[in-house]
Amino acid sequence: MRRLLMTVLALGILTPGLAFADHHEEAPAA
Amino acid sequence: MAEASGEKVHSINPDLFGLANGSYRLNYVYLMDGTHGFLIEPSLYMNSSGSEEYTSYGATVGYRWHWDGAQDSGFLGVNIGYASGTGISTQGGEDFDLTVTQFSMVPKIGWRWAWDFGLNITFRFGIGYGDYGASTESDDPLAQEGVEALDSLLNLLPVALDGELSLGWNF
Repeated sequence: MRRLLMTVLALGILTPGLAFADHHEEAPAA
Repeated sequence: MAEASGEKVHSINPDLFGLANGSYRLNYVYLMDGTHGFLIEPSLYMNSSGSEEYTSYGATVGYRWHWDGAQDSGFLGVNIGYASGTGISTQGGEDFDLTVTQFSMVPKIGWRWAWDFGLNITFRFGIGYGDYGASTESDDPLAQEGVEALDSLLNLLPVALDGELSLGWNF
């Protein structure tokens, strides 16, 4: 689990745009 | 074709696409004789999502040759950069951190469309060498194992990408 957590953090660091997209995917469409 | 002597020498280009995802990056280029461009490009990224927090910063320096001898030209060159990103995840009141550093050396090709009143649009792309390091301050043995595995994985493919699509100003 902790190993997986490190992988999640690595993805967040290396692909910042994707982390942001995840965070905002529930925003309503205009 | 513009005369080299009449060419503007300074330009500043913020990365507009980066702004859209919380990443702040801009570059300054000093273009000598319309031909030799020297670039410096700092960057900063901060974001938090759920139980994770991310902070990254970096700086790139580069040289490029504008083959038409003007701001309005295609170019070839190389960028050298260093970046460091840290992610912290809070799980059950305990913090787990990961820092990934990257050194890169990337040949690039690009185009700049420049208008006399000052506006420019710049695109560049490159693929080159990247050296990565992963580390943690966590004492947790499983977290440390995970970081060692990541470090090996990242170094299996010592590749770095470089890119820009920006709107800027020449002066």
